Amino acid sequence: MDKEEFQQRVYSNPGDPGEEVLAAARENPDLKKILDEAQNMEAEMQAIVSSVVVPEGLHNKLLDIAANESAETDGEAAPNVVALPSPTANFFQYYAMAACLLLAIGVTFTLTFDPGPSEPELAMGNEVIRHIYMESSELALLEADDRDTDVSWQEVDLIMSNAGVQFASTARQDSALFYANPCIVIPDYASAHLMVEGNRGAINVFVIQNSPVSNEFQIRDERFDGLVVPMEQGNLVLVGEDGEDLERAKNLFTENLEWVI
Amino acid sequence: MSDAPVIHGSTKQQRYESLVAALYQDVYRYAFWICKNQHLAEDLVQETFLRAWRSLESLQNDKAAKAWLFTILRRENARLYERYRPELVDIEGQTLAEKGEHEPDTQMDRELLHNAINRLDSDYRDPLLLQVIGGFSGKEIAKILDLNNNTVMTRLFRARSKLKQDFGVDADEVAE
Repeated sequence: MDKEEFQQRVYSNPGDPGEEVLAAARENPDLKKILDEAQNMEAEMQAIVSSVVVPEGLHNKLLDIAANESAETDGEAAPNVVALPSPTANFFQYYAMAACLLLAIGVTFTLTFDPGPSEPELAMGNEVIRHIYMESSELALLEADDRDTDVSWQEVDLIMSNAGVQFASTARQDSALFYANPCIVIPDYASAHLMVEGNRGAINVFVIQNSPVSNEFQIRDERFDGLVVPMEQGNLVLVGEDGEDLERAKNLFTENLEWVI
Repeated sequence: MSDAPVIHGSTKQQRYESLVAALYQDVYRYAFWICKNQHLAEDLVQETFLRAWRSLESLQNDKAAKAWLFTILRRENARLYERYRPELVDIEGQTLAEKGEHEPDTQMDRELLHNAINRLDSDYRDPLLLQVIGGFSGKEIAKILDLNNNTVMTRLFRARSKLKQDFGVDADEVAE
């Protein structure tokens, strides 16, 4: 076996190169060196791939899949007591049943056929997260323990109105809002960047006056979790630290923001 | 790869649980390497096992369970993420365990090798990861990637040659 063939066979599968390769390596120190080098690199590779940390709790989540699916299937299998139509059922009863069936199919299709966010919609979500990283002063504020909560509502009102919204004065007290700044997340679209206190630190809230996304969707990276929520004249984007519960903030803003364009 | 079946039990639930117990870590590690993001990888693994649960009856040969799962995972990745993949920051090296437990030289070598694997073209990285993480044979990889066996063996050879080159030791240099 020449060197080229030897190398090809070793590099194709260093862990199990075959008896012929091993015999050739025993007889030729140069070939043995190739084999040793390849097997050392293989051991390093094995160590690298094995060192990927498998998230805690993943095992249980996977087991839950079976439990949840079984529960759903059981639910579907539950006997449905349906009264049989009487022999005297008239045309309208059958017509009504057919209409209901069509409606059910339509609703099911609408509920299950969710194509997910489009590429531009996802790009907007990414842009918001990128904006947070880019704005180092805002990022520093995000990480600060001693945030100044004394925010001027006059200034907040101005920033929000420039973004085309008005925040209900009755909700100010509960908002835990401590930061507001006019910002340009997407060129040519007015937006406001606000921050409110969440359970895991600050929640970034962006009001962007652009085309509303088709459906609410989640965004995230290795640090942040977020939500893009379509609104009347634009989008509300909420971004918090990984695992943050964004529902409270979402409700606060969707219920108390009014578009005033 | 070991021919020992990884699925045990008589009920669907028992078979699924044994499948999860035996393979979820390898499936996650493979998902992580193709997504380079732990959240996406976790979602992908959950989606993969959901599909596996729903079609467990279609798995005729329990010995092929691992290749079956990896194939589902690759399809799910293509379906869910390859088309609309968010531009996520590559968390290269950040989720690797035991980072501080090695000698600095060893750690540096591993980081170099880790980066070199990531830089490989997917044509070469895919079969390599299937072999290193999944322990698949050339034929199994060929089936998963829908290639012929010779192509797979050539790509594995080129992948390791490239790594050797990037890693600082040229294969030819070693041989001479």
